[in-house]
Formats: sequence, structure tokens, C-alpha cells
Amino acid sequence: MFENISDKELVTACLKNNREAQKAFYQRFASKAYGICLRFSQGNNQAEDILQEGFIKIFNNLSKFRFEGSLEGWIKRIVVNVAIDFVKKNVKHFQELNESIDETCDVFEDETVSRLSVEDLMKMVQELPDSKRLIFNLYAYEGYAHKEIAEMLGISVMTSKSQYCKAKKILQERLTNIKNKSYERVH
Amino acid sequence: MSEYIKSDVGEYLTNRTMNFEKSPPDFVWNNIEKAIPVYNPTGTVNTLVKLVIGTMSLSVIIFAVLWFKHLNFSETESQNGLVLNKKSATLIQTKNVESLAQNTQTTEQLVTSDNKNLISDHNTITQNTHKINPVTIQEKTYSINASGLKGVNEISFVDENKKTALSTKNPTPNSFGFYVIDISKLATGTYSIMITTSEGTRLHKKETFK
Repeated sequence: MFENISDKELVTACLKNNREAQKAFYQRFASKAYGICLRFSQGNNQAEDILQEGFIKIFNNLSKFRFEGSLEGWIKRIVVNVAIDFVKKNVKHFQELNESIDETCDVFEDETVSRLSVEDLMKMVQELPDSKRLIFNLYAYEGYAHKEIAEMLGISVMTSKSQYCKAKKILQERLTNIKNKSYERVH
Repeated sequence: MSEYIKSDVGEYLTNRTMNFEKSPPDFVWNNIEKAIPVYNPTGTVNTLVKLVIGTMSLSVIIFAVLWFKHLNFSETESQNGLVLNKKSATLIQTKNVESLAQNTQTTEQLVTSDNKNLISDHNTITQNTHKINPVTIQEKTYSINASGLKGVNEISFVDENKKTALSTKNPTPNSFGFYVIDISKLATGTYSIMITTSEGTRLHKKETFK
């Protein structure tokens, strides 16, 4: 009944606390939101917690949405904010790094790498340490500048940059290892 | 030789995984719906219907209780009314009879005598009031105990001037054994009450009447 209606009509129905509309709303946006939650979290359990908390917040604040931007963008911002708060709780402190930053961190997209599934790549991001994963998400996926990240997390710009580079190094090493293993198998 | 694309690892990963989607487990929605309010239109109608029925039932019960109380009260009242009516009828009847012939008695004891002698029997002055139609007549009587008195021929009241103001010949004691003399017309004053028998006349008592 609510599958084919517009976002605005769906929101209106949800605001009347129509359970069917609320479920349809969740089903429409949950998969994308869960994807965001997975890359912010260490694993499925954490991602489910973030998703649950995120949607509860969405439904409780749905009346504040004015349709001035896209509904999907509004939902994504809420989920990201919930994810940030969730990960911040787990990070005791952000290691201040003042090392010289080598921002060059390339990967060759060969057959081995290109054959890696999206799930495999997501798993690599999940396996990053909490602080690095958070900053990697904020910079690479969400497009925040290091200055904004520094203000958000209460760290220095230098720390944000170095943490991000560290994250990339780790990912590069992972991809290189996979490639080397593949070559070893072949050769 | 194949050409490999070199790209920043961060960019590579974000490009490959930016639009990653995955269906969450079902229990996540179950947890969410427990935490958010639900509006059940059918439930609201049911609730309203129940409310209306409940209110009507309560009204019927209250009405029944009040009606029952009203019935009980009316019966009691009517019962009491009958009793009252009977009493009223009796009173009216009595009054009617009295108005014709009998007295409605209010008794006062007017004891003025300081005579402690003679017969220590009961000598009472009784003031009666009876109504004949609208007229009220006051009646005063003087009672003398007849026991110890035999063959009384006359009872007379003699004033201080030795004049007989009142005389009753051949008095008859009433059923209580008293000679009852009507002294209504006796003027205020002190009188010697004389009793005449076959043995002669003697002073019975001195009384002052007001």
C-alpha cells in the first residue's frame, strides 16, 4: 500500500503513527543506512545497534523535517551523527600524531584487487582501528575537511591528517598482502 | 601487458563501497517499532465504542439505583403518610367531640394552701380549660378526699366575713373517691371549707384561692 507513494506522502502517513507506513519507510531507507552503519562499525553487531538507534531518532524527529532538502540526505545525516557518537564512546582518546605525513598512498587496481567484492573491501575498512576508521569515514566517505573533523572530535588538524594517512597505509598494506598472496598462489 | 590503474587507496575504496547497501536483520525493525508510537485507527474506534458503552452502562446503573431509592422513599413516605393521616383523623375526631362536649385538659396544680392540718389527703385545685366552639371557659374545681367522710350533707365555702360564698348540697364522690366542687365562680380570698354531716358541721380546711 505504501511502497509506491512519494516520500512526502510516506512521511505524512508516518506522522500519523500509521504502523504500516512506518514499516514501509524503514524498508525504503534501511539498506542504505545499514551500509553506512557497517563502514563506521567494527562488525554486524555494532552496525545493527547504530541502525536501530538511528531510526528511532529518525522517527522521533520526523515531524521536524520540512522537505527543504532530500529525505535521504536528512536520514543519512542522522545515521552518520549517531554512528559518530557511537564510535566516539569506544575511542578512549585519539593518539596525537605529529609525524611527517606522507599523503601518497596508492593502490594498483589489478585483477586481484578488482576481483575483490564490495563486502571484502568493507571488511577491510571495518578492521581498521576505531579512531582511524572514524576519521577515514569522515574524510573519505562523508567529505569533511580535516579542520571540521578536528573540531568535531576535539583533536588537532595534524592528528586528523596523520590518522587518516595511517588508515590509508593500513588499507594499502592489506590490499598489497592480498595481491602478494595471489601471486604466490599462482607462481 | 595489462595496464593497471593507480589510484589513491582512499579514493579507490570509497568509489567501490560508497553505495554499498545491505538488508539488515528482521529483529532490528522489531526493536525499532517497540520504541516508536503507533496509531491504530481501528483501535481508536474500538476504544471510543467501549467508552460510549461504558458510559451508557454506568448511567443506567446510576439511574437504576436512584430510581430504586426513590421508590423506597416514596413507599415509606406514603406509609408514614397513612399513619399520619390516621393520627390526624383521630385528633380531628377527638377535637370535634371535645368541641361539643368534652374538655381538652391542661392541668395545673395551683397549690396555695399553707394548711398542714386536718386531712392530709389530697386536696387539689384543678384548673380545666374546655372549648365550646370558639369560646374558652376556664373551670376551677376543688377536690376533697371522701374517704373518712360519711353521710356528707353539705360542703360550703365561708368567707372571712362569715358569709357562705358557695354551697354544694348532697355531694357525690366521683369514681376516684373525691368530692369535686366547682369553684370557678368563687372570688379570690380565704375561705373556710365547712363540711356538714349528720353529726353536725365542722371546719374541714382553710384555703386561699387566687
